[in-house]
Amino acid sequence: MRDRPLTAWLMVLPAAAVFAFYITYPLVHTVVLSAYSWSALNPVRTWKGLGNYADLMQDPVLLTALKNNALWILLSLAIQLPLAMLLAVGIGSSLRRHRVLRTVFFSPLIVPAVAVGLIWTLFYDPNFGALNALIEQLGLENLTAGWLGDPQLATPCIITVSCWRYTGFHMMILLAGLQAIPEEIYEAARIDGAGAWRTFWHVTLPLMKRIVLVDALLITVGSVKIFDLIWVMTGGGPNHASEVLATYMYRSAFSDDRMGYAAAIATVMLALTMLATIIYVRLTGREEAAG
Amino acid sequence: MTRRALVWLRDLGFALLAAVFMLPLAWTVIGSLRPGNTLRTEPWGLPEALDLENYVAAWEGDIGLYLLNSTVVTIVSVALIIGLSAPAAYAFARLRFSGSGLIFGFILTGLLIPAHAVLIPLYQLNSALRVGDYLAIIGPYVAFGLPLSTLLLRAYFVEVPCELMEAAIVDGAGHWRILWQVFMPIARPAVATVAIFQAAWIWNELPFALVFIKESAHQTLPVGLLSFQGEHIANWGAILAGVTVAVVPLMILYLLFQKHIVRGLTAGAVK
Repeated sequence: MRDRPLTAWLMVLPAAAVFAFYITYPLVHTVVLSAYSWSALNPVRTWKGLGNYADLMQDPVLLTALKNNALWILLSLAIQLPLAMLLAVGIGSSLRRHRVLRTVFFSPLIVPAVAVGLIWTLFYDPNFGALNALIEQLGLENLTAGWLGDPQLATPCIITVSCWRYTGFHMMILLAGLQAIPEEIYEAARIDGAGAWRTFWHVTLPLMKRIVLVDALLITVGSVKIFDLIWVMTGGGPNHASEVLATYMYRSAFSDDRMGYAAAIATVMLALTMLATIIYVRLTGREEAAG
Repeated sequence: MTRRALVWLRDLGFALLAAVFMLPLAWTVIGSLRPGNTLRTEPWGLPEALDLENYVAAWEGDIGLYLLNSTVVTIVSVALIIGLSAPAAYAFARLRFSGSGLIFGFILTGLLIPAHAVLIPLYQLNSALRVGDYLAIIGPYVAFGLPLSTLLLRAYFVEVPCELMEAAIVDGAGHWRILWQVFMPIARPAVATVAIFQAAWIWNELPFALVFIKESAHQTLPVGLLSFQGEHIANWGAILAGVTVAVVPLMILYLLFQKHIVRGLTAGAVK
């Protein structure tokens, strides 16, 4: 059958146009705007060239934000990937029996991030919080802490919450990959006398390499973009200790009214997500070349 | 140790982990049923009697209004996302036309783009054109929803047997009718997956809502919850009641559709 190209174009064009209008065009515009200095109060733009980026490199808060984003990436990968894999393998083995468990682990994702942030803020509260109360009841008074109020602990505390919220989602993704592995391959491994542990390392994991890499990319990009939980729980504080690129960008634009500077931070975020994607494409490419 | 004991131990481990995962949510619901001020003196107590005063406070604090706003915004956005991405996914999966791969790749880039990278230009655009609050957020919601839904629907459409499509063409159906009457009913798991993921994302979205919604009466739940918390900073019971109200509608939606989710994802993830 011959396809009439007109129909195809009519089907694709509305989606492509909406996408270009709301995402592609503003994206390019952000990069352009990062070369200017202006504010919402005084909307006259003055050309600054790379000046905003030069200022960024001198800015200690940006350095803290970058460090925190790096910590987010590392800890999220190190905690969520293995835990999600454990859950997926454990639950995937007998779907019917574990439907309840699957629902349980996925459910935090359904709770709005703002709600999650509010719950855990009360949980972590240094004076009346449920966490410190629990620790005291266990007789471990010296382990109580200021949690979100402690500059050293604020970021790890919020990352813990993020792991609680997203591990179930990553479990779902890995579960989808797990179910695509044909049953016969496991049969063969069983006949060869491979135990559960060896089957996992030598059969399951190599076959899932691709989807694990996709998931790792999602976690990495998610950690570069992270905003909601931090905004709700600490607002980037205390004294910028838990600041990340997204919170700093938001603060620069809509509290400090430094629009050009904020556009430069947004451009840095964009560059980092692109970098992560390129690294991932390289890794999968090498994977396929190796066969 | 026998094999049976190992299996039992594994299940016990999962059950314990599940209990830890549910703890914060259980604490929230239980806390919302206790008098607001007792939570601060005794965070782990149980409700003594069924006490709905916190829900009354939440309702008077406009949580009902935020709920309505979020419902409208979510339904309109999800409908538009599916209405726009289904034809595109069909064309990418089943029609050959030049530039197909390029445009598909172009839309997929959206999966990785941070909302913050478009915030300032869209903020300017909305102010310059005096776009209404709802339109201001629904536009970006739809645009950011398109990549994932096009990806998942296309993956599902590719697997629909050719014979079904050919039979419909012999019957004289055009591509639009084939899409809505043959493909969409078959792709129900994928549509359900798309709908639940997009609904969850839009229901929870913060940065766009924070920046683009000017009138407090138009606030969606995430922003509304933040202002509600600001007004009830010491009344933890009321905050937890507001949170519970915000969670329930999506929980119901998720429980209704969850059996489709893995199936809908599988087609998309393995490609």
